[in-house]
Amino acid sequence: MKLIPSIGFNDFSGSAGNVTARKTGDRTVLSTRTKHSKKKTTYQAATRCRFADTVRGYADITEEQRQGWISLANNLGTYHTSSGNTSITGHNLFVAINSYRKICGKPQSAEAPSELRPSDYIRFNDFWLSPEHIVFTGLGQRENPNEVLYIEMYPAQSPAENRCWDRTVLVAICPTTDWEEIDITHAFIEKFGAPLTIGQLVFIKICWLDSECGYIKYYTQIARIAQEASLVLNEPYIPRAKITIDQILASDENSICESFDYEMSPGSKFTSNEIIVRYTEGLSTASCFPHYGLLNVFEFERSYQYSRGTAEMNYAIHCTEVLIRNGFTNLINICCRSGVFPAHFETFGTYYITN
Amino acid sequence: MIILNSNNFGGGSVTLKDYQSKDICVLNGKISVNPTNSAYIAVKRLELDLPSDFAMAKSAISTAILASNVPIYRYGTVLHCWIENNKLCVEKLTEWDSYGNYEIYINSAFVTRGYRGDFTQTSKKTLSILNVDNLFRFHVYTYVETVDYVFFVAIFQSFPLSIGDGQGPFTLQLSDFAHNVNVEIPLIVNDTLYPKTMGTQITIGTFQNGNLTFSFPDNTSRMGGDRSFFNFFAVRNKTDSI
Repeated sequence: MKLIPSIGFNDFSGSAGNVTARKTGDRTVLSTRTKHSKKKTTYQAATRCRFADTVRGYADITEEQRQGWISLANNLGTYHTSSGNTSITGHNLFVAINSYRKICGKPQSAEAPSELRPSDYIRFNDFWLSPEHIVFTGLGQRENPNEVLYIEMYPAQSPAENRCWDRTVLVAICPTTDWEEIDITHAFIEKFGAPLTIGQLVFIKICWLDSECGYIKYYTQIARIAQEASLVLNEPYIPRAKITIDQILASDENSICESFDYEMSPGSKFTSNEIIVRYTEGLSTASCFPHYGLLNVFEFERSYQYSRGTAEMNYAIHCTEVLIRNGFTNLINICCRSGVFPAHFETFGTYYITN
Repeated sequence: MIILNSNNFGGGSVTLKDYQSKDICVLNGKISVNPTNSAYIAVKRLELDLPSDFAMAKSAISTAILASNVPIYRYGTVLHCWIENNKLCVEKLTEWDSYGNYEIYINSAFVTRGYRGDFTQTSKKTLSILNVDNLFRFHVYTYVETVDYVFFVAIFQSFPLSIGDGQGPFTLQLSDFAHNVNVEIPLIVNDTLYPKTMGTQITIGTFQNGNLTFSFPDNTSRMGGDRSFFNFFAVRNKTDSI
């Protein structure tokens, strides 16, 4: 709502069109109704819808529940939001908490929480902020299972833009980390429509948020310029030696790979993996899945592993050879070496890799 | 050795041999499970508390072997096993609960993920079978020996078959296998002509003084034979001679 001091309608009050006049002391103030911009991105529509739903929710709760929110708001004194400190009404606290809960995928809470567990700063070992990689590493273990990583960003349009903390927008909610790492490169591009450029200034707010409480209080602020090397240790980006199912053609003429999660660890070379294969035809005891090209650290990686049939295959044990070939031949071979080979099986575990 | 005194399934304390570092841990031992215990019935997975100073709070997926109490054949399977929140976690499968107490063998390595860097090739060590009775012959094997632990997977082209070779005991004599490994391991001895039962036939063997000794139970029909195999990590005893 935009407030316009009136000079022409001293005794007028009421609404006409988008203009409302009201008396404030001895002055009449005209206000115009703010309209949404004509832009209708999916994100904007979702945000508006989420906000409107949450606001409407307050009207649906009981008076007793409303008093609970009012009491909690009074006890809070000052409420901390991602755009600053403010005192808050019960209504606005209800909307704020439930908006963040909704962002985190939680249902609206009619009851005011008995306590508000505030968000917390993050710690990390290193951070890449480049056109190809926006990756935090060494984020540590979350302290309770409800915690998610909440990330807002704003890529400045010019180096002269500064103190843009009120322009950050939600980029990602990460319910889990991948071995204490998060990669928000795709989320960033999806949100802003283009990758970062080297030299671009970026504002980031990030915190551990209790998704049940939805109370943002403390958060880490990072304003850095995008560069190729990592921002803490000044290291080049080296990917993990990992293969996922989207890197392979997950079927051959007689089998389908239903799941593929493979990673190498040092010492000198281990694999930990979980792979599920189903045979569709024939009595073959081997599968051969092409891959789309892997990192150079993959050459000729062989592991002999335990496998078992799925429940309908009576959990029968067999020994499977998993062979990753990369370079001259881009294939992943999965072959029964011993035991009764079921038509639907999973192989998993941690094993030495040899060649 | 580490002793795990508390768990969520009403079991007794468990003693495991251990090698610990921040990148790899190796554990050896067995867990006895009473499937009629009310605590066991209530849980979705088995959890055993590791010592508070255990080197690894979380691991990638590893394995354990369930050996049931099904008469003679001890049918069982491989289970998911991992470390999470400083607990040793084991998948719970109830398929063999009606046969009474069962055992879970852990002879596994646990590693972390998230490494970014180069790798070196694993050095294998050559072993020879010293038996002269032709009962044992490797089909394929991989043996890796480090100062602290060993990894050994072997699939056999020749292996005793209960129906022709009797119940044993049998001893696989090996050259150059670490003499300071003393471990009980499950042997997967499912004959390929097995009936369609739940799980796979298992017998337990012991590595000691560089050799593997095992027996088949009395009154078996067929157990063992070619393509029998094992796959394990084992901690080396520091006090024994090499």
